Amino acid sequence: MALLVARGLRKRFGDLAAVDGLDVQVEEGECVALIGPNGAGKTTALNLLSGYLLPDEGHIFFRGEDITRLPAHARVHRGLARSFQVMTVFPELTARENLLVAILAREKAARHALRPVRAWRQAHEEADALLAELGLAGCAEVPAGSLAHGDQRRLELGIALSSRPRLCLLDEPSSGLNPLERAGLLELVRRLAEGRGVTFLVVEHDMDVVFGLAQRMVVMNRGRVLAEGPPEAIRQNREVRETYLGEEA
Amino acid sequence: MNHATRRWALAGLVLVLVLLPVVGSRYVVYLTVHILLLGLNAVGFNLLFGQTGLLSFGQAGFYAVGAYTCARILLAWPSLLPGVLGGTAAAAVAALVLGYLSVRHTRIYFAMLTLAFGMMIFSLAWKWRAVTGGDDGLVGVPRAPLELLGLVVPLPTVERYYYVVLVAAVLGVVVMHRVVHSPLGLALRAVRDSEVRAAHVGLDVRSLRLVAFTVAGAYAGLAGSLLPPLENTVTPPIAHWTASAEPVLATLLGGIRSFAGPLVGAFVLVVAKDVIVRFTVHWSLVLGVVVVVLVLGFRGGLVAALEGLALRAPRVQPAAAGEEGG
Repeated sequence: MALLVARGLRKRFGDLAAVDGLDVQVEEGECVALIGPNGAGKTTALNLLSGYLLPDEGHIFFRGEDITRLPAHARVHRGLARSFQVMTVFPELTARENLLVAILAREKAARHALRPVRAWRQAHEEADALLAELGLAGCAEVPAGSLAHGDQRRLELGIALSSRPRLCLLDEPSSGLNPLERAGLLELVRRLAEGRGVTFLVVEHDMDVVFGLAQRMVVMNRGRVLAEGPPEAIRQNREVRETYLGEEA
Repeated sequence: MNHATRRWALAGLVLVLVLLPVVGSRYVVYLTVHILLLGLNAVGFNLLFGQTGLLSFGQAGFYAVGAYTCARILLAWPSLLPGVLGGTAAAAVAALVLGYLSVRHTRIYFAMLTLAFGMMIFSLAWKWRAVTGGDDGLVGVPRAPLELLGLVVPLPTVERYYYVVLVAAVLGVVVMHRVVHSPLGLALRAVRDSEVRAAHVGLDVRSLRLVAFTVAGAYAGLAGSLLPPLENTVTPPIAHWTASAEPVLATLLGGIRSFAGPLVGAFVLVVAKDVIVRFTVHWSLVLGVVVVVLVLGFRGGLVAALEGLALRAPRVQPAAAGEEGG
């Protein structure tokens, strides 16, 4: 059974159909890249899948369950997490607290009002281990908003993974990074994915990066799927080259 | 300020508060009761404002619900505990209902909604004569004895009643301290920092806001229900929106990011008002100027400013001097 199935998704903003009949499927354990030109509807698609927006039409099934109308927080508890294109960390919380809050939310501990956070020893150990993996061990006590841009990007990845998702949606995880940092971040994604058995659906702009990372690619144009297949096949696809890779081909 | 200093300061403060009726005049005790009531209200308000990032301009409404409910209970059944608990519970229920309607909005829309709901309660206090006594208010509210576990403690003097308020305030502050340091407190700060990110780590943002709103309402209600036994009357002005500004000002003065901020702010506000009133009938103008100067002069509040001074004083490295320039 596919991990995620979306059928006939549609989302209009006024006259613009940002997503217009999208069918997409993600299998357990693979890493799928979602690419397409600007305005193709990639981010809207991610917003529909994660529950940030609700679709006008269509259905989303996650592990066989219809989650089309579920709010975002309920999807997270079912194993569907995401990161954002525009940086979204908790700026006034420390780096450690950024991960802790995601871990405690996962454990449904946020309703505890009278025991101190430090009583959750295991959550702290988990947060510190992940900080070390992210290369942020030295910044545990630093407010996330004061971290360098690249560090915030890695922290955001850590927040998404702290939910222990089955499927993690990443919206341009390397945006705003220099080429060297990009390579580092995607290497980190690969390493973290292997260790945890997380399935990734990554929206990316940097083609080199995507060809190295994904086993399968889905190309979007005008709100729907234009082509999909393994990276090499996509590279050879004439239609894709015309609409998207034009200047590179 | 390190842990040891903090502990000593706290112990000193508690000692002063406990000995106050012995060493201070009746008026000082009366004034301190008002500081404690505003402090309780502001500490609750700051869970909503500083922690959750929602500015409510309707806390006086819940304060009044607490005060009127407590007064009605005491008039029918002169026993302090049922009055205070009933008042607090009524305010919490009112906050739960009005909060349910308010927390789907944020920022200015939330502030305006809470202002409107607060004024709605003010109108009720003014017009619903059968229950609230209208513009006469409720008079002759007894300072009923405290009955607990078969023990009956009469509270004939302000000094005795002061201890009841002190115990309630200390309990309220201790509970809030725990809430702020709990996973719930962390989740509320996450909601404040980024609503969208919070939802996407699995937090139910609206429910969390409603919890914060209800707790803040309960604190306002607790403070309000401790008022009628002190003054023996309740009148509509306590529900007016200008009264809602008091916990807001106290919190801004003391600092929204420090736990003690609202308490320090309540102290400064009540004392400043009391001093200024002696010199001029235009006290609200002078008080306004004082508040503006303090808020602008001490960015982040008095507590943060004082802690900054305490940290800076012993330091003489050039690095510290460099920071001051920035």
